[in-house]
Amino acid sequence: MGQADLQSVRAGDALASAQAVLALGDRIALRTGRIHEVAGPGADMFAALAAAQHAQTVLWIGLHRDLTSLCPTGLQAWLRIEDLILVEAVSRGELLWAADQALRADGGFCVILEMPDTLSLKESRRLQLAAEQGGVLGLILLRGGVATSAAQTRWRCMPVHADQPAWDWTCTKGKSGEAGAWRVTCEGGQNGKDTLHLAPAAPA
Amino acid sequence: MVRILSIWLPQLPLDRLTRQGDLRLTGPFAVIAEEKNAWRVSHANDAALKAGVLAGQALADARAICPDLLTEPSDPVREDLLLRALWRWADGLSPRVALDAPDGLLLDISGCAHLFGGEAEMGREALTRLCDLEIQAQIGIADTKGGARALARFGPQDVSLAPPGEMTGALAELPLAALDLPDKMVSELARAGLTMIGHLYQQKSGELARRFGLALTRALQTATGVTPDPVTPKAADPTYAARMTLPEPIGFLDDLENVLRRLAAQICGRLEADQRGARRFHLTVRCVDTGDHPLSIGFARPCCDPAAILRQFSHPLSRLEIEYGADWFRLVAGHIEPIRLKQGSFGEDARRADQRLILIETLGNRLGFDHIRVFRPRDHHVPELEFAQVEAAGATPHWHPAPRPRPIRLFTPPEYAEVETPGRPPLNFRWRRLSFTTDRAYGPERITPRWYREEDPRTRDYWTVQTDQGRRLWLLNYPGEAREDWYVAGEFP
Repeated sequence: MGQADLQSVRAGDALASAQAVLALGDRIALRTGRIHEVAGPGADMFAALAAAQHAQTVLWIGLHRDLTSLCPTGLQAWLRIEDLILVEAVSRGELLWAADQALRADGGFCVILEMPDTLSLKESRRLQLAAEQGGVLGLILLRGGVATSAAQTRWRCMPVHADQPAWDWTCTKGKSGEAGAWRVTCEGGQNGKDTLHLAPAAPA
Repeated sequence: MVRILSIWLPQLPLDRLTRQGDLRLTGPFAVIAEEKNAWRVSHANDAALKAGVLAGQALADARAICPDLLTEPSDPVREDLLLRALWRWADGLSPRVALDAPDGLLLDISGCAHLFGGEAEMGREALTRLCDLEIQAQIGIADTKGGARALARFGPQDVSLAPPGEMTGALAELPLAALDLPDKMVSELARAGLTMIGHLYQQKSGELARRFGLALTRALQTATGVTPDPVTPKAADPTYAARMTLPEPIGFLDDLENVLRRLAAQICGRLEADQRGARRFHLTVRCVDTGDHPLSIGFARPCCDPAAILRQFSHPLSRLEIEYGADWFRLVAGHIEPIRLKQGSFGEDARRADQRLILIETLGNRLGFDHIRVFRPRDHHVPELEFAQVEAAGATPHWHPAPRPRPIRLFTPPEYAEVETPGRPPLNFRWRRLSFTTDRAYGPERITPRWYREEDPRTRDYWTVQTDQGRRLWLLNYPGEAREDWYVAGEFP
């Protein structure tokens, strides 16, 4: 039900034909040239899967403590570590500038920004415009609070207690009407690759 | 017929100081160098020599002989720079110049001498020009490198000349030290009664080689021209720099960019012609009131594209505060590297790789190149040492997968977890102000530290814990410790 709605909304959108769409799993679609917000403790996993699906150079922009805790020996199951570039900023201003430059760049990158606090509407609007110019996939991991923003979608990602490693992804905001909740399971055990199983957990 | 001219600069360190206008050189003065843990005089000026100071003397002895002696430690780097400057200068005499470090130059003057009116005239002309530069020199001209060096150092006049094809005769009267042999061998030869090069001619070379080694016969044969020993000239390292002086100061950003565009085009044209690129560019802007402002940019790969230079300089230039204008500009290229015209991939991939490097440059020039990093694998068993972060600029990305699955977040140092219900692993604990209940746990994975290194010597037990709250954590405990503390070392996705 949720996916059917999502598909039809996208097909009806005039802009959708011009904008590339990134399919995550085989049900969820993220539009490139847009920024998407991800919140919750499972945000890293969402970002890693989206970046893996995008299959381009990944820029992970964050503060020192966020980047030093990233562990490539764990990420290697999903991401190509060769394609991962870490950009360490020392202040909020540098963080936003680096994200703006990376989103604006014309290389089809995937830009992951770890935001330690709330992003204001003005800031997110500027990032959104930069992403539209570059046509890249922008993911903002919200570590602080959630606020009104110009992002295309907002996701809440929670790891769940199940037999297999599993996550609940809930789309809490969608500009083009995307909505829905999914239960994502990793079927091949702890670090099983490409064995994601998506099942709608709730209708949109 | 090959003719070689050797320039010997016996007092190069002193000449360097004289050229700087050092007033201490009017009295007794010596340059000293540390040799086998003792300070020794390496070069002494005329006044010091007259007072009895000798090169090679211990500094304490020299001070005892000449209490007025002033000294300065030698500076090999600056002396080498002066020698390299002279190397470029020697282009005016012959196109084929080789460096004869630390105190000489070798010029292949075959076919050049007639331009100066003959070999002796050429030698004298070189001496005059060096004298104008306040540099003392002696010159030897011969058929071979060894012969020219020997004549320059031990020849009878300032310009010693061996007629073509008569090397044996010209060298016969010179001492054996002229062959550039080790001191030990020279003293051994002296014990055998051989003091001049002429003495060696009467000996069978087989006998000499058997007793003193092949080095002696080889030195003799190359000096007399029996075996060839050509000059291998190397072009002096070119400096890629351009300068512009304006009659009136300028201050608008557009004007500054115009100047920079012209300077960059000039340098890049030369770099491109030599198939080289530079990794750094330094721009000096001299303001009429506030003096020099140095600006620098870096590149992730050798670059010779004026547009890229302009693009990277646009940020530092826009931050420059110019009140009354600037009228002098100099752009220098640093870290010169050859550009390998290698095509790695076609079309889209090549463009993407380009874009990636351009982005690294843009970010690096503002945030610092040490803040743009990539992961590099390391061969190690301790989880936090299985990888390293290295600078992305200049690094070729590669990765080989680690053998064991690890968390995607690794906290170093591990974060303390407050145990509420003890157990192994704890049944209830608090971490980051959240309560967790253990449902399933796998482990322990025991990792012993590197006892041979000065680091945390405790053995570690890692547990993979599935909590009722959903999060999968990597708990750490140090077995055998008095307090059974638990830590969160990482988080699985």
